[in-house]
Order: sequence, then C-alpha cells, then structure tokens
Amino acid sequence: MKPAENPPRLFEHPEFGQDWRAAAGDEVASEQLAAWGQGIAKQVARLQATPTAISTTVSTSAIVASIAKFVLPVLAVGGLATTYTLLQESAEPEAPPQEVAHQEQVLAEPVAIDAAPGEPAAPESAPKKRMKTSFEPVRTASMLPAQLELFAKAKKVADGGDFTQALRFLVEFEEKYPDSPLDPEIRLARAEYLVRAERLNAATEELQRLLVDPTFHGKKALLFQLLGDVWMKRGRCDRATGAYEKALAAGLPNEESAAVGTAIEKCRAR
Amino acid sequence: MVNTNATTGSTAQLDVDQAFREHGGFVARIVQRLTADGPHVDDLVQETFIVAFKKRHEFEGRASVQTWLYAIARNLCFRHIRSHRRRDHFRQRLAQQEQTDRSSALEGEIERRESIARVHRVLQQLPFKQREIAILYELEGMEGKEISEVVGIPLGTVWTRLGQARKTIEKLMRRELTKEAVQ
Repeated sequence: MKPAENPPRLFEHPEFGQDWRAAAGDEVASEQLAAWGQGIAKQVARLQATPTAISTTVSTSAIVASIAKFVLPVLAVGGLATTYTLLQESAEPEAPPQEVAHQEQVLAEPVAIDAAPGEPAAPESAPKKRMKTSFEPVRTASMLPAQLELFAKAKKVADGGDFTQALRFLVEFEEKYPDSPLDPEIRLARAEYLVRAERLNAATEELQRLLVDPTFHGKKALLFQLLGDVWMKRGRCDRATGAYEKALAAGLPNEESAAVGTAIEKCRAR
Repeated sequence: MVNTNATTGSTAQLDVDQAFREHGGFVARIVQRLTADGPHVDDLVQETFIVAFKKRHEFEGRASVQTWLYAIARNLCFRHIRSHRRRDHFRQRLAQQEQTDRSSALEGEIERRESIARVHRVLQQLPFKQREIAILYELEGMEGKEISEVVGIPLGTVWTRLGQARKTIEKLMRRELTKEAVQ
C-alpha cells in the first residue's frame, strides 16, 4: 500500500468503524494526568536538588560488602535450592510461551532506551544461544558477582535519591537474571523504590502481591509500613493508620517503629 | 499537531513541565495503546518525562518536542513489552479491568468500553512496528508524513506497515465480532 494521499481511516469503516471511533476518542482522565504531572514535578525537583549520583562502576569494597550482605542470607535461607538455582543458570533459557512467540520475534530489533529521535539504536548484545557441550565447565556461582554489582548500582542511585534510575537498574536485573537467587531482595527493593518514586498505583499493586506471597512472610512489618507510606502520600490517613498499626503488630524494628508511631499520632491529631 | 512551544530560549532546552502540560495526554495515550492499560502506564508515562528531563541538554530543537517524547516513550514501551512478555501480565490485567468495568458502568458505557477493549485486543496482536503505525494513524489521527518524521522511517515504509497492519486488523476485528455474535 503506497498511496499518494492519506487513505481513509478505520473509523470510517462500515463494519467496525464504531469501535475505532470509540477507541480514538478515549482520553486519559484529567485527574490521572494531574496526578502524573505532580509525580513528575516531585521527581524533577528531587533530581535538581540531588547531584547526579549515577556511576557506571561500583567500588570493590561496595561489591564485597554487598556479597557479604546478600549472599549469606541467601545461602542460609535458600540452602540447597539456591545452589540448584545457581547451577541452573548455565542451562538454556526456557522457550517463551507459544502465544507470545511471534511478538518476541518481532521485538528482536535493538532499541536504545534514551535514543534521540532519528538516532540509530546502539546494537544490543543479545545473548546468543549456543549448544552446550560436555566439555564446557559447569558455571556455578559465576553470575552472582555480576548480579550483586547490578543490584549495588541500583541501591547506590537510590541512596542518591534517583529512584527512577534505580528502578531501571532493577528492570535490567530482572531481564538479565530472571531466575536469580536475589529475586526476593530485588522485589522488596522494587516495592520500596516505587513508593519513593511516587508511583503509587504500581507500588500498591506490588505491595499487595508481596503481602500474599509466603516468601515475604517475615517481611510483613516492612511491607505494611510501605503500604502505610503509600496511603499517607495519597492523603488517606485512615488507611495509613491501619497499615502502620499492622506494621507495628508484625514487629517493626525499634528505630522504624518510632517513626511509624509519630505518623500515627499525626494522623490521629488531624 | 507538532508543537515546539515547550522549548525555551536560544538553547532550545526542554521545559519538562510545559512539555507535560502540552504533550502529557499524547504520551499517556501512546503508552496505553502500545502496552495496554494497567498500572505500568503510571510508570511509563512518568518515566518518559523523567528521561526527557535528564536528557534535556541533548534536546537541540531540530525535532519537535512531540517527536522527542514519542521516541523516548516508544523505547520505554518496547522495553516494557520485552521484559513482560513471559509473564503476560497484560492479559490478566486487561481481563480484570474489563470485569471491573462491566460491573460498574452503565449500559452505554459498557458498550463503549467493549468497543475500546476490542480495538486494544486487536492492536496487542499486531507486531510492534505495525501496531505503532496503526495507533498513530488510526487513533492519533496523524498524517503519513508526520508519522514518517516521528518514527524516523520513510513514508513508503509507513504505508507498507499500515497496509500490513490493516489486513491483520480487518481479519481480527471480524473474528472478534463473529465471536461476540455467537456468544
């Protein structure tokens, strides 16, 4: 189809033009847009106030500290299952579900996330499938330092107040290491950064998922505290108080419980 | 449709606040249509403008603000789809959304929502490159030449992709309507 002029639009189609008219006229609610605008303004203000803390390298001491912090609990909790997972990292990636396979094929072109219009995207180093032979050494924990390094990057930018960039690192992490033993840590961090980045809808959904996941049974205090923060940011003191009380009941650490107690007091005073 | 008001002074740096006021609706619709509705839209819309803010010094004013924002939003959507393709969250969320909509809306509104959902279902089955052209042409009402500039492809390619998209759309729309008539 190479028309000299623009062809008639689908909303003029005699059979299903009505559907396309409805879809074309579907607007984003102005309240929703206003909320996004506020979220963006806050993040921009935060970025302007904080010097850019994005670093592409992480110091050795940070990596070592991260390894000590995350590997030990992972090994303690995960035990044999973790070791098994690590061993599995050398296996071929699983095939995508049939129904999305064709889309995956189409999406295989390289795209640069921040590419300017018209700029070619940098070629992506897509992992190439290759046949595994019995002569290859089995990789065990070799991927873990890279995982820890990426996680440390996310934490570092989050510490600098750039939660959007931190979330981007976590997305990159999940893409690169979908079966990582650090997955619980990553999901917790994601929930926290979503709250801090004021992405309240996504944060609420993530927190609700984590609260019903048995993996995070021991983290309920933290999760309820974050949920309380979400409700506070939404101006719902009533619901925030409920969440904070559950956080206290679930056993928040002392330093956190003081802050939560103050928030509850404030809410009651309103 | 193309607007350059969100640029300031001779440096032509992007004023993100103004860019959001002028193009927030456009970006939000693009994100929703490219990736389907869901909580991720929240993330992607905000992230588009945050990326634009961070890269504002690189904005030279050669392209329009809308084109610049589209390129960022498109890449974020592309990345989102790629990272979520295995989990297939979209279908679940869309199904939940539709359920909620059905139970809460009036009859006319239900019909309208169903029409929109039908179009979105069909769009999601198109390959990404065809989908974006279909969205920009059929739903955003852009001209072929504008699309060619925004997406950065020759005009002929726009028409080729649109033609391919339409063939699939017609087939899928008929299937959807037949399915509905049978139920």
